[in-house]
Order: sequence, then structure tokens, then C-alpha cells
Amino acid sequence: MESLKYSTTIRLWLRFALAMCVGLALAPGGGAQATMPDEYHVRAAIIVNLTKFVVWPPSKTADPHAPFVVGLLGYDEQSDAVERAFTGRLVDGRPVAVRRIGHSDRMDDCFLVYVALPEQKHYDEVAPELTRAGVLTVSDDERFVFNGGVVGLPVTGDHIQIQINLAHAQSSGLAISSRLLQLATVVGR
Amino acid sequence: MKESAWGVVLMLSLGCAANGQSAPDADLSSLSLEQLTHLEVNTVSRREQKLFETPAAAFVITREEILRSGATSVPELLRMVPGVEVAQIDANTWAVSARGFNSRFANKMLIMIDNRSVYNPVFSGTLWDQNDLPIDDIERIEVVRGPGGTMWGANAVNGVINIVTRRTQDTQGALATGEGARVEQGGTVRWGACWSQSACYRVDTMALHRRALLAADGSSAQDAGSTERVSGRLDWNRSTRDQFTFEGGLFRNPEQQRIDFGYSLSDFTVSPVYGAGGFLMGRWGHNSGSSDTALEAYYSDDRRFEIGMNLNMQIADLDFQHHWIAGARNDVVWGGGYRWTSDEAGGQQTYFAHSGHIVNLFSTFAQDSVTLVPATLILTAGTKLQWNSYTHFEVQPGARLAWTPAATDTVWAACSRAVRTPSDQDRDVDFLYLLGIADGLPLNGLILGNPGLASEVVLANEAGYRHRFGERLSLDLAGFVNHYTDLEATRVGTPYLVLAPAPSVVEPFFYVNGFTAGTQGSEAAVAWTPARSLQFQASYAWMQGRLVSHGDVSVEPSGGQDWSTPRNTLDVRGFFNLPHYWSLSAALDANSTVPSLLPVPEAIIPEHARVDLRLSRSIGERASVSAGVTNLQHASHAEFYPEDYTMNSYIPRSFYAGLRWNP
Repeated sequence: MESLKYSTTIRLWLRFALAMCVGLALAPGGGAQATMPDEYHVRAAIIVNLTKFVVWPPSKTADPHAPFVVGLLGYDEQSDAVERAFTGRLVDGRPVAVRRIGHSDRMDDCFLVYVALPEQKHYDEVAPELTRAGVLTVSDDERFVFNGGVVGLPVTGDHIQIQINLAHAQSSGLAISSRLLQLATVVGR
Repeated sequence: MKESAWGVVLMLSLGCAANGQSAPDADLSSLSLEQLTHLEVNTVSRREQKLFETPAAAFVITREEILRSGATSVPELLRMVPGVEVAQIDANTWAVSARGFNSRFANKMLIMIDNRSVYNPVFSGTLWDQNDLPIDDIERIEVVRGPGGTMWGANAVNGVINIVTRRTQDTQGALATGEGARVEQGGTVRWGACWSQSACYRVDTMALHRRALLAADGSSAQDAGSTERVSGRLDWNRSTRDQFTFEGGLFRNPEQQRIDFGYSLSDFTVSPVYGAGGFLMGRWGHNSGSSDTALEAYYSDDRRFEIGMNLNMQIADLDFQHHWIAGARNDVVWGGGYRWTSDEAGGQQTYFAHSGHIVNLFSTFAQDSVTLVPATLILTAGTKLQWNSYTHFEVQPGARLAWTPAATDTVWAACSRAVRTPSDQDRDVDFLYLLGIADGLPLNGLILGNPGLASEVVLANEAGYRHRFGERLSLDLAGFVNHYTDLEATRVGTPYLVLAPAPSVVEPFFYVNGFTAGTQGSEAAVAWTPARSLQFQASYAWMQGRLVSHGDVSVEPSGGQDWSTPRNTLDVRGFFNLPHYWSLSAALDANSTVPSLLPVPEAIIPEHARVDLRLSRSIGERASVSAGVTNLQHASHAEFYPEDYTMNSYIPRSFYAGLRWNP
């Protein structure tokens, strides 16, 4: 009895599905909705843009032919987006070379190091070396600028906010343009 | 037989249609730094990671899941949440609770819409029919099982549900939806626009008519009802630092229900219910680098006519919150608030000993997340301190530890104390009703509130583990051991004879703090995305509760006293993005027996499962049609037993068709 009712339902459903298919397969299809830009792409674009507002110490820029080395410390979705954003670009007339690095690798030739999520916990170990080498360090973590980093790009509300630790920038020998400082939340002044 | 039939349905649906979907990658590099920092960004993946690392049994229903479910009310959406038990009682009422003590008046669950509490402080619990909202306006639903008292205060004992509506920037233009089904018909019309780049608004209207469900004998349950609603919202981003939001709404709910106060469930009467009301709310968010503040105020005015009683209730609420990243190791949130509740009862039936009540509630809280090991071990500890007119000071502390040894693993544990404060109903009810006939005389029941009632208290211990197996598969496990004290129970008094105005026998019932309970359970959720176009999610929960009485008291099927929660609940969902803009979703929701202490056969709700199917297709960029069936495999089934005075209804199989159009 139960199975009889059941198969009746199935048959009804089948007929219904068939009618829907025939009717709607003929109708024109629809496209994807316009979406907000992904946080990772916007942050990557900000990182590329940042390089225009930073002056590196003379030790870094002595060799005019040296490439602008971008180090990606650790792997996450954001580091992928940064790699794509820098690929094929010139910064200050230098060709960009993007390099994936681990926390035990050499990074003193980097101009910019993006610290990915898994490496943020090891950042203490590499911070002194990066400061000595005059590297612009960037991360998406809201605590990064308090933890020795120079630029933090956390999301607040629906926007990406630029945080800069001026003390860390100065001890790394980096000069940051006042225009960037106006846009940013500055700590360690 | 069943399997092959399903196979045919699937193949047919798959076979009759091709697909194309790509997200346009905007060229962001041409924008200036100013423009980039002003750009609104999609933070879904970040939110997912934060959720993954949250030291609580948290679950979020996303907008995508909301749209593909085809649900027309929030309780129906909540069926997919692991460990949340949803049972429809009649056409307009639902019992929704996490971690037990389910009831129409589930009094240990705090429900909020955009942080505005919709918990009813007069009866305790949430009247879901008064809080219908257009499903298309919901951005996401955040559900936390377990105590949330440290942040949210009293009555967040077993869980917190926050319904977050969409920002007006995301709801521009016109939208019309309509749906017709055996069980309900409804439609919404929305208009949204922006005055400038920074200020946008929307206006919504919604009408939903719920047709009567079935009585046990298959006749009409005479519980039809409607929701009519007009609402609006305005968002103004004054700058990237200051954001203002204003919301308001008006609603009306004419309904009917079958009520029965007597010993025999066949002696019901059909009684009208009428709800109406409105609210206004404003919010100011300010962020200044490493700290942000929020100031929020709302006012609501609700009327409810039910069982011959007319209730007017006004609530005014003001809340302030400050979040502050205090250096590398501390993340602090603190705040305070004040809520004023005033209610007045009238009508032909006396319900309360006092016709009016005013309750003041002062709150303050502080919570600090301390990074013990950077990005690996975080301890969150805090407490709420509240003072209310009834039980005075209440302290609700909690501590949570999250260990994230890798981005793919989170282990968490928590220990917290939360309270449910007594409502006007608990303290002041004085309600006489006819129970039956005894020795030739009318036998009346008299429910009496108890002004000396203390708050119900839980000490909750929880732990959980989340793991991601690559990109496509994730697992979320949680377990709890709760100990409740001072649970509300009923003491049956000695019947006595009353001679005037007419001779009758009165049997009094008193509310007392008379029970303790030990409850345990575990919840599991799996999300699997084998392909971009194919998604599955499954959740399973097992829980049990043991109630121990102190003295001569009993638990009544009333006001959330009883455990009333199935030992096993299972929900499995699949979503298939088919070629040619088709999509198919299927859901299976199953429960074991709902235990009840009510000694009548109608109160036994055996294990039941429901299957819902939905097929939809988008037509052009602006329209979509859908059709489906709910409760596919049974002619009808009941999900909850008769509780308090509300008779339960049987939910029939229902076919539906719907249209969504944004011209």
C-alpha cells in the first residue's frame, strides 16, 4: 500500500520534471551576477600600488640592474593573488622577480616580503633579519604591525585598511610618503 | 525500486540541459590606492576561515544556501544546522532549540535579527510568526550552539541565532518573488536604490498566507494564518570610518489556532490569534584603526491577542560596544547596555495577577582574546554582568581556548555559565481555565506564577574539532556536557472547593525551581564539494537529557520545561548545478522519536523523515523559476506534540512553484 502510494508520487514527480525540462530547456539562459571584487585581488592590487609610495634604503638600491624581488613567505590564497598581481611588472624601472620562500631561506635580497597566514606564527624568528635587510614586510593580519611588521592590510567592515608601523619602517630604513601615511592608520609614530 | 526511480529523476534532470559560469576578473591594478581602500570587498573566504577557527559550536547558513533551499521562513532554514532541532507545531508555530528543551516557547534560545533581540520577555521564547521576514533580504544566519551569555546576556543558555539582513548596497533595483504551494502562497516586492555613492535604501513588502494544515484524522486543522509586512532599511557610509544603518518595519499576523486546556484532546476550540507591531532601529559604527565602536538603539511596540488575552509590549534598548586590538597579544571587546520593557495585559480573560509590568535591565560585559602562542593558541575569557528588576545581579562568565596547530585543524574547548531569567509569565501568571468535570462540579485549573523564582542556570562544558581535508572536504565535530540547576518545574497543589460565584473545584499549579538536569550530546557536520557544480552537506546530532526532580514537583509539557528533543537528528543536503542554468537541490531531514511526558497517545511523535526536492532554472540574468515538493514521501506527518494549549497539526506533502524576477 505504502509502496503503491510511493510509486504514484514518483510518477507524478517524473511527469512534472519532464514538463519542466521540456518547457524550460527552450527558454534563454542566464549569466552570472555581478559580484564584489574578491578581498585577495584587492589586497594584491594595494600591495602593488604601495611600492610607489616607499623609498628603499640606498644599500638596497645600489645596483640599478638588480630585480625587484618579492618574497612570498609561506603559502595561502592571498600569496597566490600577490604573485599574479606582480607577474610581468616593473617597479621603479626594475623587473619584478617573485620568489616563494620558507622561513629558513635567504631573504635579504628581497624588497618586499608578504607573510602568508601559516608563516605568521614564525614571524618572530625572521623579523630581525628582515628589518636589518630593509625589507618592506606586508601581511593581512590585523596584529602584524604590532608584531614587528611594517604594513598590515586587514579587513575592517567591508574595506581593506592600510596599517603602518612607522617605527618599524624607520628601523628598516624605509621612507614612506606622506600621501600613503594620510591614507593609512599609523601606529608607532 | 526506490533507488532506480530516483536514478531516473536525476538522469532526466541532468540529461535535459549545458552550463556556463565565470566570474569576471576586474582590472584592479589601474585603480589608485585611495580607490582601492574605498572598495568594498568580498570577505566570504576570510569569514569562513574565522568560522573555522572559532572556539564555539558555530555554523553559518550562507545566502547561497538560503536561496537554494527554497525555504520561505527562518525555522525551515534552520533544519540544516547541525544540532538544532526544528519541529513545526502548526501552520504558524515552530519549536526551535539547540541542545534540548525544545518547545513552542523554547526559552533557552536567544534569537536576534541584526543584533536586535526578538526573544519575548513576557512569555519567554520566540514567536516565529511575528518575526517573518523576506528570505531574499537575509545575508546569512549565524548560529552558535551552547551558551552565549558572556557576550549576549541572559537567555542565551542553549544557543544564539543571529539573522543578518543584507546591506542596501547589495539590494538595488526592483525584485518581485511569488510562490504558490499547497501549504502556503506568498510574494514579496522590493525596491532599492542609492541616493549617492554612500547612501542607499530599500523598501520591502511581503505577504504570506499559510493554509491550514491537517488534524490527526485528516480534516483541516483550522490553523490558517497570514503575515503581512512592510519594512525598510537605509545604509549610509559617511566615510570609511563612520557607517550608519537605520531599519524599521511594521507587521500584522491574523491567524487561527486550535487550543485545548482540558484533559481530553478532543475538546479543542478554534481560537483567533492576532499579532501586530513594529520596530525602529539605528546603528552607528565607527572605526579608527586599531579599534572600532558601535552604538545601537531600537524601539519596538508589539501587540498580541491570543487565548482571549490582549498584550501590549514596548521595548527600548540602547547598546554600546568597543572593540580594540590592544597590542600584539590582546583583542578586547567591552560594552554596556540598557533595556526597558513595559507590558500591559487586558482582554476578556485575566491572565496576570498584575495588569502591567516594567522591567529594567542593565548590562555590561568585557572579553579579552589573549594570544598565548602567535596564530596557534588563543584564550578568550570574559563575563557579562547584568542587573534586572526581577532577579537583580546575574553573572555569566565564560572561557574558551582555541588551538590551531595548522590552517587545516582547530581544536577548541570552552566552559561557561549562563542563565535564563524568569519572565512575567513565570512570576505573575494567574490564569484560571476549565480542565473538565469532577464529581459533577466544574474542575478548574489555576496556574500561579511565583515572584520568588530564581534564574535557571547552566554550567556548560564543550569541546570541538574541525578539520579540512584539502579544498573539498571539511569536518566539524562538537560535544557538550551540560549541568542545569534551578530548572523551572510545576508543583501541583491540593484541589479546593470554591462556592462563589458558582460552585467549582480548583486545582492550583505553581511554578517552582524544582529540577536539575544533566545533558550530553555530540554534533557532527560534513561539507563536501566534489566538483564546483556539486555540493553536499550532512549533519548529525545525538543528545540525551536526564531530568532529576527535587521534592514533589513535576515537569509539564509547558513553557519549555520538558526535554522534548529527539535522541538522533540527521540532515543531508545536496546541491547540483546542472547545465543550461538548471539547478537541483535535495534535502533529507530525519528525527528519532520526540520524547514527551504527556501521558496521551497523541503526544507520541514517532521517528519521522522528510524529503524536500527543488528544481530551478534561471532565465536570462533577471529571472528564475523553481518548482519542488516538500514532505515528498508521506501523505502527512506530525513533528511535535500538543504543548501548553496549542494543538499540533500534521504537515501534508506539498508541491510548489515559484518565480523570482528582478527587472
